[in-house]
Amino acid sequence: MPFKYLVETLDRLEKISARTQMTVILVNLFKETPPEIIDKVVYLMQGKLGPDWKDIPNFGVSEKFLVKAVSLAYKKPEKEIDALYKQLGDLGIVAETLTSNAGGSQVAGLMSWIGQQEKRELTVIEVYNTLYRVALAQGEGSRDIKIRLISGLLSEAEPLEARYIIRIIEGRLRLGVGDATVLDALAIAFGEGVQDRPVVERAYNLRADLGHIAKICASQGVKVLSDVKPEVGIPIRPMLAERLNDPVEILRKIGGDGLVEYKYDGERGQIHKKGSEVYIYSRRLENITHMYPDVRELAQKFIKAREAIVEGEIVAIDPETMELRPFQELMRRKRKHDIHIAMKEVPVAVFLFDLLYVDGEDLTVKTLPERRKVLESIVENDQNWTIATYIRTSDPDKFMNFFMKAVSEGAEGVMAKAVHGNSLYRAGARGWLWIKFKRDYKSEMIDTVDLVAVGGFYGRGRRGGKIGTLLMAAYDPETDSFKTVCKVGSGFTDEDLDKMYSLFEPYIIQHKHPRVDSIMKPDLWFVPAKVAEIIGAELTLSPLHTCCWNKIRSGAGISIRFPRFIRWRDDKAPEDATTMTELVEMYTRQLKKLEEAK
Amino acid sequence: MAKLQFMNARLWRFMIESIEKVIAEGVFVLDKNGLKLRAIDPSKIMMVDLYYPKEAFSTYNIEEEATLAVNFEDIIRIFRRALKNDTLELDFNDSHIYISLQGKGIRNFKLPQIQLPYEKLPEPKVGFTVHAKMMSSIFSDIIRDIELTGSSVTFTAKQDKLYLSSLGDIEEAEVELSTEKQNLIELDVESEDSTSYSVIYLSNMVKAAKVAESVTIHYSEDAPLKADLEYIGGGRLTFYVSPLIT
Repeated sequence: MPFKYLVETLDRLEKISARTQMTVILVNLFKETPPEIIDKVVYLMQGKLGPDWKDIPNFGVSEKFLVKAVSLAYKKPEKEIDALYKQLGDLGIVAETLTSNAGGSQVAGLMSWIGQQEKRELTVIEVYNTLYRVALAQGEGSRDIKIRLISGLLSEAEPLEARYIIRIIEGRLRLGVGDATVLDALAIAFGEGVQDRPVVERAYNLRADLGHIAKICASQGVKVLSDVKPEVGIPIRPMLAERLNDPVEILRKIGGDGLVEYKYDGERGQIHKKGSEVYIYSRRLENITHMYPDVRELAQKFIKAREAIVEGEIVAIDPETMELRPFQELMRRKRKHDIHIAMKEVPVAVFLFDLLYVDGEDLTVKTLPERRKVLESIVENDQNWTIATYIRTSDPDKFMNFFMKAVSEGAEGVMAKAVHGNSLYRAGARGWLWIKFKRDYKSEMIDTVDLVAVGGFYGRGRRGGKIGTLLMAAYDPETDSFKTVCKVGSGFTDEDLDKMYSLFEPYIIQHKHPRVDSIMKPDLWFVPAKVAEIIGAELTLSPLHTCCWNKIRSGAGISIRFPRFIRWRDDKAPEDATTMTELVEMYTRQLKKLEEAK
Repeated sequence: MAKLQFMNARLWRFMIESIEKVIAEGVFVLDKNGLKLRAIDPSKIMMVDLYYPKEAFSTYNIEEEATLAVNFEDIIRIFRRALKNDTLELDFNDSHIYISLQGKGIRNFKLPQIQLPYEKLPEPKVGFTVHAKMMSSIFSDIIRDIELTGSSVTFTAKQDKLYLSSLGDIEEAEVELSTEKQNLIELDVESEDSTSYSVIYLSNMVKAAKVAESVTIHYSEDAPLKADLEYIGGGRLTFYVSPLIT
């Protein structure tokens, strides 16, 4: 197909904004396009060379080098191109004008001296392949190659073609042709009409590659699409959740009874496995496999199926305490150049929550309980690879307790999911089958608190055999007792950890100290004696800690999210620790501040 | 399996360094006369035309005609390892190329032949009016000087002199060449023509010129420039560069 035909369509699309008109134009274009190249037409139309997740490099051509390419193509000094660019404000128009001034496309460079007097017609494939080579040229000398490829293309282009070649390279082809319009046009061009749209859309949701779907439509017809299953290596558009702020309403919406699971504060990953190959796609369908070599390894080891697509949340963790770390920690991975260093510095765990495909079977058409059953059967649990924590409940109080526990343990909130007969995996859709429940406030803990160590937990890994985490409590002068607030395992230096056991040895007792009030059972109980200064991300409510029990909310105490040890306060006696009253004040002050901010 | 041996591997290293700047991949044709490569760069502004007669090789075992398709980026990495006094040995079949650099040690490399159809390109038909032959080192120096100032270079011929000039934003450069000053070996001017060319294309020839015996420039008004680089044993690497029209 001549490239000219495509750019004439692009030109028409640029001039209209009504979606119905756009659809008509696209239908005509698709009908004219040979099936073997329709994928490339679809990509080019959206200014791309393939779906985003394919990791095709950017063109990597700066404006300056594009000017150079234009200058070479039209044999004009760069200064002149710069001047024209300033005047016209659009390099695409500059190229178009220069081509028309030259009297249409010219015979490029040396070609007129080797007897090629006839001007050639550019084809879609030629343009696509050349642009692909521009994108792929990497490394030393690639700049020169890119410039030459572009200039070669421009020198053979007609005015309108030149305009769009530049626009595509600049990434400024903004025609407003959205995925939805393309899907409509495909249904009309190759199916019975708009009524076939859902079939096309479903296929696209399961295989997020418009070009690939277009090619199937064009070569085999829309009917074939109804049998399309997910394919390992092509990302599925994720199912999305609605949001509500009331557990009663949430439970009602999902049908009274449902699965409530931790909504981890990490990166959602769609993990594809095929034999020994593993691909990981982000929520936005970017290929993020290279960022998580450790997750790849876990998937290879612990997915007991030949082919599978699972979904999970990748979360930064403290490997020694297995505590969740905030999302910002995980993002440190993205900023690191050497992923193997980043892997050591920011270890992660994966919490799985869905299974979409396994060994030839499309599970998106099964209910959630059915999917979870198969998921649990093909996944082997490991310390860093496990099913997301969940409960099944219809009780709003249990829901709320579970939520508070989730938040105080570092999760963002919870996700409620329908389990009824219609609870299918709705790829690419946001709906009420999944509802997220997050905190409607977000605050910062500004002041530190002084808490008393009342118990200890043995660590793992590097901290094996040592006390790695402490159970901390605030003082309640009314009852003269110590009530637990949080577990702290972060902020200790190696030296602190080495000394920990000898530090607490004199205080270890066989049972809970009578002045301590705790729901949690640590590995070791201490006599309340050592005071530590602690900071955290914020104060939260938790059903696991007894401090300020029922004071703010029934069935919950006040806790600290992401607590960190700062230093020992040997100058303070346990009774000098932060009191319950002070914590209640801090908690209400932080809420007030938030209201003011609103 | 075809086999070639050449005494001076470094010569090929520098020739290929220049060729690699012009084309990413190409097809060598080897027949009973010698080795040939003719290709045009993606911008269609520069052509490279290589010919090395079989007599220059210490071994030249080719049955009938053979083609050798390579990705220059890949092979240049190997050729850059060529040391002084290394001998180059090249064997290939339909699927693979075996390159051996032999000097103080023997280093063997193997890489796949790429899939690339051989397209026959005709030689540009140009009548030249100015011919200037110079030492290869002089040619490299001039280009390096001109590169400093502008993006284009203008060749202007007078009866017994050749001027190369370049106009930058602020700087200007001019080089004067003549047989009298002994920086030209020969100068033949049929018409006092003046034509401009893009410097980046001329710069591409510098590496190959380093190991050439001589460089001869041919051009005429508003026509391509032809640079003939002559090598030991009768080898010739020719570049054509399309003119800038101002």
